Amino acid sequence: MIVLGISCYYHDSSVCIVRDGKIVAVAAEERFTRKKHDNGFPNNALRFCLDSLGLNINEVDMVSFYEKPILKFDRVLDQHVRYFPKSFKMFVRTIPEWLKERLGIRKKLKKMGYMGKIIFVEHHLSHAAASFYVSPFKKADILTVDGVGEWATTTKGFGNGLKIKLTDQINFPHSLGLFYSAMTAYLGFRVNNGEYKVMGLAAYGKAEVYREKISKLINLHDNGGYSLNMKYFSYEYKDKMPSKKLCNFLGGEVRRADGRVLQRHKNIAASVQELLEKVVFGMLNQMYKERSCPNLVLSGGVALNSVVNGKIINNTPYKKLFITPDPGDGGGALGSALYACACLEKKRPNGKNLVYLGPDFSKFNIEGILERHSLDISYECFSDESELIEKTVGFILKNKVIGWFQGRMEWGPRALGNRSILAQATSLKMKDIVNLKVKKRESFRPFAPVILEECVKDYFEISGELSKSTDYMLMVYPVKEEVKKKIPAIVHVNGTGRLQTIKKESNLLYYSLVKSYYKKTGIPVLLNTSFNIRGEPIVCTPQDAVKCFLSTDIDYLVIGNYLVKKRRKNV
Amino acid sequence: MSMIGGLKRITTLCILTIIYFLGIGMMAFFLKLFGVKKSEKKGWVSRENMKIGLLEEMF
Repeated sequence: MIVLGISCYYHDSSVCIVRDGKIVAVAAEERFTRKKHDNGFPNNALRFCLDSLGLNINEVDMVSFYEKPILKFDRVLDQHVRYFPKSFKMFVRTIPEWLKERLGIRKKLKKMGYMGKIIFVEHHLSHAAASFYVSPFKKADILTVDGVGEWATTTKGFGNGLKIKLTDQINFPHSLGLFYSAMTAYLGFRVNNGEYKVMGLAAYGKAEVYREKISKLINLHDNGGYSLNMKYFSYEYKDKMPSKKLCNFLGGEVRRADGRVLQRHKNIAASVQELLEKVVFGMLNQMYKERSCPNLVLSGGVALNSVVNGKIINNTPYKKLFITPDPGDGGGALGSALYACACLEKKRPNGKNLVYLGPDFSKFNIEGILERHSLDISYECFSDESELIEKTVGFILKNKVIGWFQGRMEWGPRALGNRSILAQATSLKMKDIVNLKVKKRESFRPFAPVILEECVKDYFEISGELSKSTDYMLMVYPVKEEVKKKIPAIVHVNGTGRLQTIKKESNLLYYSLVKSYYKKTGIPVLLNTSFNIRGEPIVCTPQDAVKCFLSTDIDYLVIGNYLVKKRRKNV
Repeated sequence: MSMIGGLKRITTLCILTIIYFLGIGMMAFFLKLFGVKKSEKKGWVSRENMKIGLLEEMF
């Protein structure tokens, strides 16, 4: 049975294909259109998924959509009626979009020639399925937290074998995800894009300065639930998320995107992060009492907050935690497809490879692109992989920045070793070098490490069993005091790191590279950041990689078996 | 000419306003009849006891 999962029209549109219970292709539309967080219908991702399996859309047995558009529309209409006439501007902007596109999934697929069955899986059920069915647990408690789905913004329940039962929910407008997004907007970052910047900024602030004020934005209930103090938020009827009352309450206007980040912004970010953690831990502590199940599965956009994720085991009674590589809306496509498989095929997927499921390119493809740019670059082909690794490690040791493009593109928001920029983590200068040469991003944002799984406990303070989600760069842990000086480029200001663990079975070439570096230096860590320029999605094709390589000061590009360098320009 | 243009603009604006008001009115009516009967309770709401509107049953 072939199930095609689709998520779109909010942010991070994605498509996946699950064939006979096996996840065979997943990709986000943004990688093809080069438009970050693209929310349009994922035509390109759909074409990739079908082409990669040589399928025609009519050979698909079922299409699953990651939410119920009619129910979501019901919520949107309710908002307009409730806030009439304040909601006028939003009405004019959103209703035509809904009528023209968002309600027309069936029509759209019919137009493409698809005549089969379409199912609409509830938004939070898709989130729950995306994490639970690929988790290593037979039984687990499930918590999903995001901005908003149809009506629900937070759900809790449990999974057992093939069954997922969500028992309770918190309804819109009370949303932890929207709270964080509103504060992201207040701090001058883009909603649905800058949340991780707030997370990074929080480490520079003092939470106690705004603790009392920020805590008034959310009411905590005895049963672990929460509600927002809605007078401070205007997202129910306006595009602008923080209300004027919030600005007055916090004693300052919304920061302009190009404005300076002041200490007060850092302090606010710290309090916001602290409150988010308090609410999540409160919910989990109460939830644990219901079943005393030691396993926890987390999903929804808030599960991308790797700082919270890294603290869960120490702050709740749960012993094991799993989060899918893309717990946000992009992962909804996979969740809905897995849910359909579980219901109809009675199968849980084989969750061995959950990451490297995007497009890959043949040697012929790569060489064609390199040849096309031969005026600007020179390249050398290595038939022996170990020789290529040796050469690359040699460059890394000389403090060179490497663009690393290999095999199938990763799925999810992180670069996990197939579309990465790699460098040494041993010098603090390296952070500035990577920032100056390539990323050109805010100085407060940390860089992440990749570490050999077998060495992780020597470098990071991790209590209990290592979660599989560390493979997906979803956890932040404190770096051990004694090794901080060895890898300063990836240690954040508060002494933590958002690590990616790597093992042989998940990505042999990438593992071999880190291992080879380890053998030479005794340090099993490299700096790994996404292969892109600021504001662009991660590269997808060899053409994107060469373009990024040429427009930045990356020193070498390793693409497939080729080592590429720039030709010197005679000025 | 400009007076006719101005009049046309005002008429269009009036029609759009009427459509907007009618639209909101119809939406309110539609939601009352078919919309999701969600609980107004803040915090955790049991999904077992949620009343289901016609919309929810159909889709």
